Amino acid sequence: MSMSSVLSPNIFLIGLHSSTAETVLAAGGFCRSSTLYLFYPFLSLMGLATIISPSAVHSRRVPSLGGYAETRGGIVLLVGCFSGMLFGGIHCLGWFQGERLWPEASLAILFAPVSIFLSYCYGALSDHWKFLPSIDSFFGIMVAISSAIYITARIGLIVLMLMNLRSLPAGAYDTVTWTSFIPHY
Amino acid sequence: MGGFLLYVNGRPRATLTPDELLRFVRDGLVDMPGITNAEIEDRSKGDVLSKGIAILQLVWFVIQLAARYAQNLPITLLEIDTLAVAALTCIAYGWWWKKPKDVGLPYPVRWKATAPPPNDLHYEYVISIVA
Repeated sequence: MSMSSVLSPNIFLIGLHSSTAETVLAAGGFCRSSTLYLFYPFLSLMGLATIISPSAVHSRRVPSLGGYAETRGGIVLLVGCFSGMLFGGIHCLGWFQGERLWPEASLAILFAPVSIFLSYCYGALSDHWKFLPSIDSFFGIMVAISSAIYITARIGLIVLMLMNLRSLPAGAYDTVTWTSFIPHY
Repeated sequence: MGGFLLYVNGRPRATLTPDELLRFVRDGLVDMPGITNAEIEDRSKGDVLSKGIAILQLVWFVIQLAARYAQNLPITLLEIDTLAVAALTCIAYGWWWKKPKDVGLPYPVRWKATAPPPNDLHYEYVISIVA
C-alpha cells in the first residue's frame, strides 16, 4: 500500500496497487468495494484526483475524466468550481418565486465550490510562503464539508422544484405567442 | 479516449498518463506512437450531427425561455434548473469539443525489451477510500 493521491495526501485516499487491490477487495468484502464505487465518480468529477475505477483498471481502460497531465490538476479544480458557482448563480434567478428555502439552497450551491477553491489556494500558498501556517488535511476536510453541503442543497433544490409544480400560476401553462414578435400594426 | 496502453513483453500493463508517455519517449524506452489526428478522430463515435442536434435543442430551450420572459409569462423553477444544467452543458461542450467520444480500444505502446520494465505506473493504482 502506498499513497498515490495527486492533490490531497490526506486520510481519505489511499492508493492500492492493482495487483494487490484485487486480493484486498476480495478479502475486504462487499462493503469496501461498494464505498469505492460510490465515491470515485464524485472525487473524479470534482477534479480532486485522477481516479480510475477498479473495473477500468481491470479492463485497462482510461477514465472518462482524468488522463490529464498532473500539473493540470489545479485547472480541472478551477473549472469544476467555476461550473458549480455558475450553477448556483443561475438558480438564484428563482429567488423571488416564493418557494421557501430556495434562495438558501442556491446560495449554498454558489458558495460550496468557492470554499473548496479558496482552501485549495490556501494550501498552495502555504506551501509557497512559509510564514503561512499549513494545516494538516485542511483541504480534505473542507472538501468533505463543502461536498456534504452541496449534495444536500442540490437534493433540496430538486425536491423544491418538483413541489413547486403542485401550485403553478395559471400563466405557466400558456405558450409563447411567437407571432407577436413580428412587427405589425 | 482509449489512451496509450503500455505493452511489456507483448502483455498489456497499464494506460500511460501524458507525463509518463513523454518521459518514456524522451528516455528512449518506447517509440513515439505514430498515430495521426485523423486516426484519433476516426475512433470517435460522436460527430457534427449528434453534437449539432444537442446544441439545437439547447438553443431552442434558451430562446423559448427568453421569449417567455419578454412576454411576461411566468417561469417555473424547473425551467430555471434546466437553464442551469444547459449552462453546465455549454462548459462541458466547450472543453470537450475536440475530445473523441467513447473510444473503446487503446493504442498500444511497446516497451523496448532491452530496458527493465517500469514498476510505478500511475494508472496501476486504484484509489480506495478508508473511512
